[in-house]
Amino acid sequence: MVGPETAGQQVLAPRHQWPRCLLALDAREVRATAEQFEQAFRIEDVQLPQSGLGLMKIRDGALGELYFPGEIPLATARVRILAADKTWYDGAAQVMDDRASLARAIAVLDGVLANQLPGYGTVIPLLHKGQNRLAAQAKERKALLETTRVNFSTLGHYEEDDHA
Amino acid sequence: MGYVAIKGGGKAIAGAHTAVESLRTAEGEGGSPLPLASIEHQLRLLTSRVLSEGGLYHPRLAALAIKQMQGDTLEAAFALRAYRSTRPRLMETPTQSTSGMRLIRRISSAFKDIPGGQMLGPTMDYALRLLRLDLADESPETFRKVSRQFIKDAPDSDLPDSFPKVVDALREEGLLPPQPDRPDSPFDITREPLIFPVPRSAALATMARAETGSLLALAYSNVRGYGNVHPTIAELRVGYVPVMLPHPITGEPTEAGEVLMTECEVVATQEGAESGAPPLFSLGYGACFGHNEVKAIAMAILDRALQKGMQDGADCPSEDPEFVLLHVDGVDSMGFANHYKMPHYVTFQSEVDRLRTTQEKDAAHTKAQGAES
Amino acid sequence: MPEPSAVARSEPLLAGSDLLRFWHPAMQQTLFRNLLKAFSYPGESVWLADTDSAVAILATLVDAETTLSDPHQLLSDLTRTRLNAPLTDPERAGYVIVCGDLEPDFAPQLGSLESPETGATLVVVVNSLFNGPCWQLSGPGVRQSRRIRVGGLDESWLNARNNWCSGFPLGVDLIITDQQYCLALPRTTLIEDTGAN
Repeated sequence: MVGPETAGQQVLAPRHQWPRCLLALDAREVRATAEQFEQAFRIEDVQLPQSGLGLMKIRDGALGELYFPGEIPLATARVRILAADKTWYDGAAQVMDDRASLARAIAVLDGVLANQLPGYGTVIPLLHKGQNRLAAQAKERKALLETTRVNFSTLGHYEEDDHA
Repeated sequence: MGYVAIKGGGKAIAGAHTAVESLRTAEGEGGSPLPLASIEHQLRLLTSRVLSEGGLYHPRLAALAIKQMQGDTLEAAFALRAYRSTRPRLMETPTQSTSGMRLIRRISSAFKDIPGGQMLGPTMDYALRLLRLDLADESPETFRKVSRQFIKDAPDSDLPDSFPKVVDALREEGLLPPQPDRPDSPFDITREPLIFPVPRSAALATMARAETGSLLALAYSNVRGYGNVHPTIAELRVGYVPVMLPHPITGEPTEAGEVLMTECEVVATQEGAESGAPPLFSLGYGACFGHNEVKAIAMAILDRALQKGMQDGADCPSEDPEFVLLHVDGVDSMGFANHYKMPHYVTFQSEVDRLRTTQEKDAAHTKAQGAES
Repeated sequence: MPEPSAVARSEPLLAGSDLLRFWHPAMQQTLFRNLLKAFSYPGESVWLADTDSAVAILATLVDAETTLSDPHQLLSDLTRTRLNAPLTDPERAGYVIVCGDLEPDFAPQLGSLESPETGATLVVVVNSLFNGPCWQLSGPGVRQSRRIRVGGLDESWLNARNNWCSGFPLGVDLIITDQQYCLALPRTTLIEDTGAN
């Protein structure tokens, strides 16, 4: 996990974390950034952006059997981007969200970033912002753990560690 | 059961919708509509309950359902189920791993020293059940300060994002049998009716979206005496499970989002399972969407009881898969109870007629006997 | 929150050659109504699309929850990606797309007595729905009888189809299509060769 605001030296999140970073942001910001590439490139849908559900599958902890605990919202999109070199570059996204249009915006950013298409630099601050949000979230969660960590010690000594 | 086509209720039904809404908004001048975010956060356990019973991990829509149904958990879960039935299924996810869960709580009542340590997290287990009267008149300023201050005071932490599972550690130590590899495709209760016998995956899925109270009642019946599970919690954990889906282009597992889940493994000794056989440790498993500890524990107890019932036959109701699985679904059971409010005028009239006829026959018979003697 | 106009935000699609238009909800609803009409009146030619009507049919009927077979490689990679259906062999698929001028040398799913609905739907691509050997149809949805002429169909098709459908309710449903029109031959339809050309 990346530390707090140290923009400039921050490590770019790997591709498999991009959707998560972008989902941590305000959707309007993500859409606006994707929108600028709509003007710069010709972008076509390979598959129509769609929203629906995914059936979640997990393995039980006792006997290792697979089962479905329930469903999750899911939006998917797949685009191709025609760059100046007349090559098509692919981008795709599958996100736990209801908004097909947001999945499409993330798919566009995925294609731009993965292929470092002109202008991809404008997406990087967005990713960093998402990373920082997630780092803050992780810190909050760890605070819940850290402040409630149990320090067992055996009884028998006439002192209570808890009051120390 | 018979039904009869009647009319004349249309206006009354429309009026009922308005009447319900008028009570929702009856707070008067000082009232303001509940924001969904407030329900999601301040009533987080209620939201958890509804999204788990609805079978759809969608905290925001669960909050909406709670608002619309004015706090009725059964109706709210019903609305969520109805919503999910209108959505296309885009995929069945690859198997997600709960060992990558980003924890906020983790305890074991079986072992003091679990690898990674115990962390109570947000629990009311050790709180006095005394009413906090100061909450009755909370100022927004104080309210907002609490969380802010908690984060500000948060110590730097060297804790990892996720922790090893206690049962995995036990397995490595040879205290539990290794997990067999089961590649079978699980039972999908949203598509297939439960026709008994059903595989364990159907039982787990049914209990994961079961009504908390029903599940608890049956699990309680088992541990209190109508059954023989004596559970010890090997691990109870609450946290966010990352949902990893293959990237459509690279195929690399990519995080699509995360799901808050409660997961519980109980260890139970089977007493006198077979005559002569030594008692063995065995496991029960419970896990559901949201932060629902009682539900996960009840599910783990029932899983353990049902495993026994499936294997050796049921000795008590909570070991009988058909009894348990057909009676724990909230939408099923509330629907059945609610349907009795629908008009049954013709069926009931026929019952009245039958009763009268019998009474008349009976009276005639008594009279005839009286005349004879 | 769900958004009703999710698709409306996506790029306007290129007309003509871009087959993605077949996946738009409004288009799919129209196509579905037309297929429903075709199945209601077996043998009646129903207009589907300017071109690539076979893709239009599959786009309407097939998704990730159905299985598809394309033994004659009639679909492009892009179309297969869009259909999103697991590919399998024609013996196991719920939907099979085949070229009509080749012999039907496979044994499609006919369903079971408990579940006749698992019988396959075959999309057969032909040259013409107006010129060719004359068949006489009768059965549900056909008033008295109807004559159709399908051109560019291997002559063994009629026998094969009649064999597959001989044990009603088991059988296959056929959708025969040229580039623009389609006609449906559900398993309930009786087909006889009139011998006329």
